[in-house]
Amino acid sequence: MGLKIAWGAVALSFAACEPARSPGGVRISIPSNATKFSLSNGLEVVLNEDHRAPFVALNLRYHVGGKDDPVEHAGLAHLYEHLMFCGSAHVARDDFLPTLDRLGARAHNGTTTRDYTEYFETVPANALDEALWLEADRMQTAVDHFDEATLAREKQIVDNEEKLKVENSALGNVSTFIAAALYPPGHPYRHLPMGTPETLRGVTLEDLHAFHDRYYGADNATLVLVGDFDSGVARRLIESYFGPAAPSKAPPPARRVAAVTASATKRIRVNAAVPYGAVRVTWPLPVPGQPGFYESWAGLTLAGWTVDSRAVERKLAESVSASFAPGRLSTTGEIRAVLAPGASADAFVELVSDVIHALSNATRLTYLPDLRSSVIGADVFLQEDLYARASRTQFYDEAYGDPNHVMPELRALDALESSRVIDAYGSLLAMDRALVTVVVADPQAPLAGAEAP
Amino acid sequence: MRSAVVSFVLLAVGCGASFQVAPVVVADRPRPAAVAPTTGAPIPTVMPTGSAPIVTLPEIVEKRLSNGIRVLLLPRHEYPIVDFSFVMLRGAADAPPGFANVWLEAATTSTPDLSPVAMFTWLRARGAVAHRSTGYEYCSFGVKVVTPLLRQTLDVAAQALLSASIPDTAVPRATRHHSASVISARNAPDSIAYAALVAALYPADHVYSHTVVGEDIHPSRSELEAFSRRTIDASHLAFVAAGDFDPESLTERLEATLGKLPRAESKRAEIPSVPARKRRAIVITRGRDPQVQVTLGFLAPPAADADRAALHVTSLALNDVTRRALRLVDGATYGTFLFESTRSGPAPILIRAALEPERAPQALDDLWHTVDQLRAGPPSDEVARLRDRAIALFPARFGDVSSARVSLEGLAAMALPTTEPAAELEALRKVGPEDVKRVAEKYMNEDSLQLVVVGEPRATASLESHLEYRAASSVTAPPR
Repeated sequence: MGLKIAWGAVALSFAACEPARSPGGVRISIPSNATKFSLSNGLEVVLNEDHRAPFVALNLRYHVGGKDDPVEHAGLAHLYEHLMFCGSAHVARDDFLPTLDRLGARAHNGTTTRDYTEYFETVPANALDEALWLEADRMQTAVDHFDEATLAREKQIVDNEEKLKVENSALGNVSTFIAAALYPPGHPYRHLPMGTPETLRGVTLEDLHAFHDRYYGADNATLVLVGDFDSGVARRLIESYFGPAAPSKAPPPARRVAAVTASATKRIRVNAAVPYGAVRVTWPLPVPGQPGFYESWAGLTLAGWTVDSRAVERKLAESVSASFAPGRLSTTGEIRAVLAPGASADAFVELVSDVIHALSNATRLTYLPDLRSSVIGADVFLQEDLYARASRTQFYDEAYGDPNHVMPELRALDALESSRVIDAYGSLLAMDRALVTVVVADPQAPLAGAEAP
Repeated sequence: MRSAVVSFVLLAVGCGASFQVAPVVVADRPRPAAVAPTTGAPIPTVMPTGSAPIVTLPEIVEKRLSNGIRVLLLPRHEYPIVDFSFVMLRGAADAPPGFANVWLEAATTSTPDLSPVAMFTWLRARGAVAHRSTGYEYCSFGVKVVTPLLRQTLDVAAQALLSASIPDTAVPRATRHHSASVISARNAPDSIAYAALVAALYPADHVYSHTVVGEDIHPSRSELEAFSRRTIDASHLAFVAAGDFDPESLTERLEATLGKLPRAESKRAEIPSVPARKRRAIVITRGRDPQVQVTLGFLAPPAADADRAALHVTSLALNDVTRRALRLVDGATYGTFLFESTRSGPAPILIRAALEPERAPQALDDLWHTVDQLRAGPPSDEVARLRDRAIALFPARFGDVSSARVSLEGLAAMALPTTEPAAELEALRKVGPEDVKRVAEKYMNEDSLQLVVVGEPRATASLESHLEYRAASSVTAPPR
């Protein structure tokens, strides 16, 4: 099924919208044909055929991430992900990735975020059978092959990964400080998924088994296939290989977390051995599906564009960017700047504040049509990349229960009214809800940064 | 949303109303109720054997404009997307270090009618994404855009490229972005190591002896415009595109846009050969680094060389063995391998890893052992597996429009025929164990291997005995 959207030179519109919003509009089509079913063990499966090239992207998402780490073992979900590559009942120790290599796989790895852990690979279409078997085998048997030696080794590898990505990386600590300042004590997002040598040192095999029983059952996972396969054949293989997988033995207790609507702390300072200072303004924002989600997305992006042009013009910043990271328990929106030599952090923060204030009093948002076009462009381009599309399909399914949510999302963006986005500036994106992080260039401080008292 | 309890209170009270946030809760994803395994049969204990990969290559359409500009097109209509590039056959090798990088941005971000900010906004309003790439022997500039907006986007991109003058505002913008790249490279251990390795592999006066990013330079507007005049002519330009378009009508449009561009007489200088280098270890000390960055490099032959296919398979073997040795035994964060195909001279092949200081000596020994293993010749069944893997991966070069566009850029930049991918695939099919042994002995020659170590002084000092063990000389360079 191909859904049509209209694209204009300065705006875009859908057939149902008023023609005036898309002068000279043209039409393009985004295929949106994913099908979804569940096995009786609770495994969700999404199939999306695309026969352009002889490859299939597999993405197996377990709905467990850093937010589920035990308090005393921050980083456990990430460590568990590492161990899942170390062998299973029918794959020799450390032979998982080499086996995928031999199949001609690319983009094969795993990732652990705040909300989920994904295992993914893109394989030649002829190797789908083997790849499904490999994922099903490790889902069902990997945990039984964890041992002390492998656990010790993977702890050391995670330690080293932390050194590379955090300790020995410019401003590597800043995200950790921001998470701890943005969310109140006890919030599942208060630590990052990476973990530290201190929090992982005491992890035992028993901890890993308990984690598996709670989070690594078939009923807590979603398998997405995108690419060159036959849905009927794929379904039979999935039923055969994943059908015997057990559901979780011990479902986690229902957890209710207070929504974070304003930063717990308003300002922090970080000293770091970087050439220039930096500023980050961070807001906790609504999650997908909540009112204000699209408005805050649009509002943050437009504010980022405005701040960028004004900050560069006034020589306050070398570069400015905006990021928007949807999460299950909280979305994080951020405007980041690398300050120009000699520029004042306070002057930049004042500029952000002025822009937000001005936008909250605007009568219309000139660049809202540009934003719609940018998002549609990105969505259309993303359809092309099997790996990215599989991951995005997971997001839509997780957030909205609809793997084909790309079109409803575009419609929601198309329907965004300036007045609603303007409202968001006065509420969700108000400066008194934000955390301001000021990074001071200090040659004596660590490269990754140290929080100043 | 399937969350059990997700709510947000929205109070819209007319004009000027705000989103009011009440104390609410969000929750984890609910589990399905009453689940049980689907079948009683356990998973098969042996991995199934799939069918052989079907490897097909797309047909590339080649055209020539009336002034000789080469046009390489790969039409494919599954998605309404086009990714196109203008390929300029001049790059970092034709200018002082860093110059080409500044020039590419300064010369392609505006048109006579659109300032840099206006052109950025113009593209953004169309959901289009501009891309720029600086290589040693070519630069490319292009746009990825939805098909209905191809023509107007192509026209704007061409205007940007062909405009004779560079506006004042474009120069500081490009210089600022370039400076940021240089500063970033000077602060990252892997970039520091790469720059040192490049300097070690090539003589100081060789055009490849500096990185593409190069130095933090601030060329004048007139210098940049002079480079434009030497670069934007029919002799130094090619065009590539992949995606949803009609080759005939696109070529007609290109003829109207680029067909009158004059040809220049100048011919680019040959890339000089690289004399044999003695093996060396370079130690770069950087205070407080918690890791040691080890990079090993050697030179591989240029694109279209007869040894390329065998080196391709050897590279996969090197990657696999390195990953096993460095990650699983020594706990390295990563081991990587790079294989460039857009140089007419020899390009570096690298192995690099970030290690905990106390593990670094053992990792170095493992690294040497890896090289020795390959030079001794891997088992024939292993070579067959690696060859099949290389063949299975081959179609990925054209798997999406952007990959295809990049592949076409490589053909254009290296002046390779459109039959080159098929020839390369055919050469890959013929690679045997003796070929891997031969190229490993030839190019991974211990005498020409260069090693760079970056780390804090105490950690690098502990490596000295291992460096002496294999290296002819050890040079300590100050941190940058």
